[in-house]
Amino acid sequence: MTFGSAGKLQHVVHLATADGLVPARACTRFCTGGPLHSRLTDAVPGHGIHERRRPAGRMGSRHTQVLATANTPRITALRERNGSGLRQRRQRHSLFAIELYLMGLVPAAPWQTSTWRLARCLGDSANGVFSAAGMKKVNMSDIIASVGLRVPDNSSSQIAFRALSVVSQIVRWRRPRVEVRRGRCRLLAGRPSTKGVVNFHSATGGRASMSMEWRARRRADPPAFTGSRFHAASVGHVVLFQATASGVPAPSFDGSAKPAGQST
Amino acid sequence: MANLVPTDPVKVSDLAAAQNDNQFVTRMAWFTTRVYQHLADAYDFLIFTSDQAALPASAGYYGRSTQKPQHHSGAGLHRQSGYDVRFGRQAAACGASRDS
Repeated sequence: MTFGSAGKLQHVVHLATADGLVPARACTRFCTGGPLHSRLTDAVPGHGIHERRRPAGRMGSRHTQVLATANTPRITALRERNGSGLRQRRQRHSLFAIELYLMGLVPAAPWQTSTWRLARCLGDSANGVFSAAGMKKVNMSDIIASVGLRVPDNSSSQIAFRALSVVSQIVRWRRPRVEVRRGRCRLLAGRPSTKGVVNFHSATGGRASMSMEWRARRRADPPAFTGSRFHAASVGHVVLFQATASGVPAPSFDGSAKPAGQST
Repeated sequence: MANLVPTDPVKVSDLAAAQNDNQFVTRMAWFTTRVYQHLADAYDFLIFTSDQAALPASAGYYGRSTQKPQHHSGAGLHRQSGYDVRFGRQAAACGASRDS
C-alpha cells in the first residue's frame, strides 16, 4: 500500500478525537515503536508492549509524567505544575536509548537496557492510567542479535522530518480554534519554549527535528479544496477538511491552488 | 477540475469504525491519495484528526498509526506489510500497542 506517496511517507496517523494525543510523542513513537513492538510481541502473542515511564498528556501539557513501579500492575499519571505545591520531579522527556538507536539517532550500545510493560492495557487515557500484566527488560544486544545492526546507522540516517496535520471538520472552525491548532503544531515542530513541553525536539534530545514550515503562512492561503461536501483551507501546513452531510452533489477542485511543495 | 468525492465517499469519522484492518487501510489510503493529489509528496507523517470531542462508541482506539515499509533494516520492521499500531481505549492509554 503506497497511500499515494512515491516513497517519502513513513507513517499515516489517525487521531479519533479532536483533542487528540501528543502529536510529537506519537510521531516519535511511530518512528520506533512498531519495530520494537513487533519483535517483542512475537515472543508474547496476544500482548502489547508499553514502556514503563512515558510523558503522557496532550500537546503542550506541562510536567506530566507517568509513574510506575516494577511490582505494581497499575500505572498512574501524576501531573505536576510549577507553583502548584506538588513535589517537583525530574522530567524525563527523552526517549530510551534503544528507541533513539532504532530511529538511527545514536550509535548502537549493546549494553543498553530498558524496561517495558507487557500485556494489553486499559484505562483512562486522559490521565495516563492503564494496567499491565508485567514487565520485561529489553536489551539492545538482543535486538541486534535478532535483526542485525540498523542500516543506515546514525551517521547517515534521516534526522529531519516533515509532518502534515489534516483536520476533518464537522463544523467549520472559527479562527481562534484554528490558531490553537496552529499553536500546537508549532509546539510540535520547534524548540520547546516552555520548560516541560514535550515535542519532537525534546523527545529526541535535539538530535532530530520536525518541520512544519510556517513560512507558508505569509503566503495567500489557497482554497485547496472546495465544494459542498469537503472544504479545506491551507493554514501553513495544517490542512482543514470540512465534511458535511452526505447526499450533496460532489464538489470540485479549484485548480488555482498550489501544492505546498511549490509554494515554499 | 478534479473530483474529490468518488462514488463511494469516505468520511474521516468512518476510519475509526472500520470493521477490519484491510478496510481501515483502504479508507486511509483514500484520504492520503486525495491529499497527494493537491499537495507535494514531501511529508514523512500525515496526521488525520477527527473533529469530535468524544470517541464514538464504535471506535476501538483513540489513535492509530499505519507504517509504511521502510528502506532501512535492523529495526525488526515487517518490511513487506508495514506495521500497524493502535493506542487508546481497547489498546494502551496514551501509548501504542500492537493490536493482536
